[in-house]
Amino acid sequence: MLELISLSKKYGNFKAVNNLNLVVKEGEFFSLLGPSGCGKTTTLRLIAGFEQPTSGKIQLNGKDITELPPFQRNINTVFQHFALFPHLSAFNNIAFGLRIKKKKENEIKQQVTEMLKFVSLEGKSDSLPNQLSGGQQQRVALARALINQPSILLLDEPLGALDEKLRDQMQVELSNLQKKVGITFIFVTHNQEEALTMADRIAVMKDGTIDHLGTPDEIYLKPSSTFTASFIGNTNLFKCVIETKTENSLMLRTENNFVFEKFDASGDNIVGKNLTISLRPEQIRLSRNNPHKNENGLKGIIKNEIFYGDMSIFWVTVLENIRVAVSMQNYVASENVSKPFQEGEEVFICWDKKSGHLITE
Amino acid sequence: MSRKNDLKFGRGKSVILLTIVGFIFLYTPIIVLIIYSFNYSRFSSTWGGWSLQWYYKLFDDSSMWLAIKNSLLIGIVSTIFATILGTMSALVIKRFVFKTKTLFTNLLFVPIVIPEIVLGILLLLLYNLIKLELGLTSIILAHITFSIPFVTLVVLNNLKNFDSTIEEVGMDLGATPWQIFWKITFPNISTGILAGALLAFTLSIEDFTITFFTSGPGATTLPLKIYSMIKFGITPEINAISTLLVLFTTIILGVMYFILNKQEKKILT
Ligand SMILES: Nc1ncnc2c1ncn2[C@@H]1O[C@H](COP(=O)(O)OP(=O)(O)OP(=O)(O)O)[C@@H](O)[C@H]1O
Ligand SMILES: [Mg+2]
Repeated sequence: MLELISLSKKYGNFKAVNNLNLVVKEGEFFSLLGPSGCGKTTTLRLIAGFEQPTSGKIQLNGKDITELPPFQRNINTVFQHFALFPHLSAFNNIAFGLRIKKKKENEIKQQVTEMLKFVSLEGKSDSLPNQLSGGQQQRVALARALINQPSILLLDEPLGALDEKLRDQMQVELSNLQKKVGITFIFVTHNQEEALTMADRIAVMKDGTIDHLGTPDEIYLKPSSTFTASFIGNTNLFKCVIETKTENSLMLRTENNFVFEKFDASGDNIVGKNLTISLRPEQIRLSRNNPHKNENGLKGIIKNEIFYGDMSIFWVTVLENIRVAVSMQNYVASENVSKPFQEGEEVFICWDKKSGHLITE
Repeated sequence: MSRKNDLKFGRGKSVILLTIVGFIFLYTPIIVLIIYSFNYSRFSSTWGGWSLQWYYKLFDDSSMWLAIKNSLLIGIVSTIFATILGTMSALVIKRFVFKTKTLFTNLLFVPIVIPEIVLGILLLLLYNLIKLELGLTSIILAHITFSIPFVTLVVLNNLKNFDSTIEEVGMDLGATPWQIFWKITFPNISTGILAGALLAFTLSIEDFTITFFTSGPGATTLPLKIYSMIKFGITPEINAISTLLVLFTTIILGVMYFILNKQEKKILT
């Protein structure tokens, strides 16, 4: 178990990490997600020991390791650009940690060979890093860290340097590998899809602190802030105020005086309270007909369609100049994509009264 | 890394002609020197046919051997120290940030650009002040002094291609700072260090001015020996020893070029 307690790191007057509290459980695939410059790498470097915190504590399995130098922490890192030793072969790169620990040469040989097999690089043991492809270098970097059997493996955007195909493939390989070895992974990324598909839990970071911590489902469906809501996936945000309230339903008024119903049984929402509702593009549908009884509806004009192949995003203007994104799966019969809606067409956007997530800030 | 371009400059006939004249100007003395070292005749005004006799004579001369021995000793010892100190300062300068880095890099150029004669006098004054007896030691110290900035610059240039995150990786994998230097940093900058050392060695072997000021009795180096021989007239022996010096430096430069070139290729692939 890794605990970060009120951790701060200042560069001059700038707080790169700001009073951060975090508990990472043993064997967990944990992801730090956030926009560029929010302090992810700095947090990782504090955990690894490359930087000393300005204040706060780091505990590993109940032991304070804040003051320990990197080479005395049982933590290893996979760096963003792999940082393989250019003068050493794949074998010797992986063997480095064991050699430092003065293991016997035949023991090293056996372990490294096993490790090479584990990351499917059997034939490449004598290759120098510049003779390996990006994905292979990536796996050498992983093997080099894993062979030390760390209690925690830190990964700083390890897939950032790979092309998209390879990245998808490595995402799967990486999560399988994590399950197999059972080591705690702390995985830094600014790619939300990567975090959503791989992590057990995600901490969304903003300005050096954690904005929202939760499972991928929670973070996607019930973001606690508009920042998290708009950072994870696409969403439509509307500020509104509670106009009236019944036992399990609210009437909400937007800034443009559009009033609609939202089913909500929680007791903490009182009349007059300001809220933001987050509606995902996939929670809204387009229709030429009036909305159903259990739906809210708004008339609008399709401004443009962005075609992604399997799906399309329609940008619809409602209430004069509010742009709403609506996603729709494309149905492809034979070679032609059937286009159910045209740009410039007048349509209803409809969403279920149960849909939408309310955010109080 | 030169690159061909479509600009007109450098293509006109007159420019090519000037270049050829320049090269003739540069290489004629060297070629004449080499040819006359094989001249049978004692006088450079007449050609007496090919001969190796001046080389034989050279190798029979015990004072010449002493000068060669001194030069090699000074060269080797000063190169070792200059290489260690120069490399260390390059490593330190690399860690500096922005302004300090620029300041120190510029400071390195000062000893390179001040006239050698001034440096020679300064060192002589210094050694007088600290009452250091002039001889092999003072020459070695002087050579270390003027070689350091050259080594530092060569190593610094090599360090530009060195990604220091791999040092962090070493730390991450449990290596102590000492192990990191020898197992990671050194193997990756060793070509730069070797090139720096070769440069320091050539500079030391060839140096006349500074050695002249800082040498004492019994500490004659090869260039000093040649100079003293010239005082009694230019003999073909001088041609012979100069030819050997030219050959020697050419070989060292060739080795240096080969090493750096090979390394550049390694980086590019
Ligand atoms: N050594 C340093 N000196 C001064 N400021 C720094 C230093 N290192 C990082 N910072 C600042 O701290 C902030 C956080 O940096 P960090 O590298 O942790 O961001 P990040 O979340 O990893 O971003 P990215 O996704 O771009 O890698 C940035 O604004 C950066 O400019
Ligand atoms: Mg980063």
